[in-house]
Amino acid sequence: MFLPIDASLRTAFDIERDGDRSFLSIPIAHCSESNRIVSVASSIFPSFDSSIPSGFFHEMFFEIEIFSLDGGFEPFTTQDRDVAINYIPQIVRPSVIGIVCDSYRRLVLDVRPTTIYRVVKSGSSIEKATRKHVLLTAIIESEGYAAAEAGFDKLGRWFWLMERPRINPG
Amino acid sequence: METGCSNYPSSGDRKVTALKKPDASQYVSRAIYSGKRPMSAAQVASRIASLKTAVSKIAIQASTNEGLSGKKALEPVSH
Repeated sequence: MFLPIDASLRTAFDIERDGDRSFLSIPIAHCSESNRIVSVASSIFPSFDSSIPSGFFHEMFFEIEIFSLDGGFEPFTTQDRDVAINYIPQIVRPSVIGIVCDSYRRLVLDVRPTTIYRVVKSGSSIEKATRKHVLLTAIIESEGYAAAEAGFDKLGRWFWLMERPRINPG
Repeated sequence: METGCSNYPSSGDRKVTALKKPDASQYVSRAIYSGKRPMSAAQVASRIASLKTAVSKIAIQASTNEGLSGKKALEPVSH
């Protein structure tokens, strides 16, 4: 049975690096019987694509990580709400988006990317996506970024491109 | 009459390709996926150290909570 981890621990974790990806993984639940930890992992990584106006950009995304400490279960990540919900205690679920917001803020302040790209997973309803991503957009805006482009990608997924205004010297 | 630039096609043969304007809607993220994604061995190895830290912090928190409940047990009880 997955039980919530004390919320006071959430600020105690540092940004980690995996190659050029920076991420924050915040544990939210623990199962003592199966020795598994459930974490909210938020990531930012650099990429290049000629279809993005500036070419070079950073992409941000979040996922739920289920990790077995003793190797008894295969560790995995998921962005699928229907999968994740089985591992997240009900009492913790409302706080997940707040954890992602805090993590995004810390990652943006750490990496200071010029351009940030985010996309909503297909299958998410616009209404649900709006609630979450309006919050995330506001967090990034509060760090000095402005929406440069938004719309639907080739797969019909809602995306945002946000840029940090360039400061002209003199 | 030869001009010495015979490798160049005449202007009538030139194909003018307009530069494509960048359009973010054409980009398809590879960071988004469905279902479960297994973690690679490298990912697992890198996560073990930090999760051990997490577990130790959780253990400390649990013992602190026990300590707090111990304190409460020592609080004077009004009769």
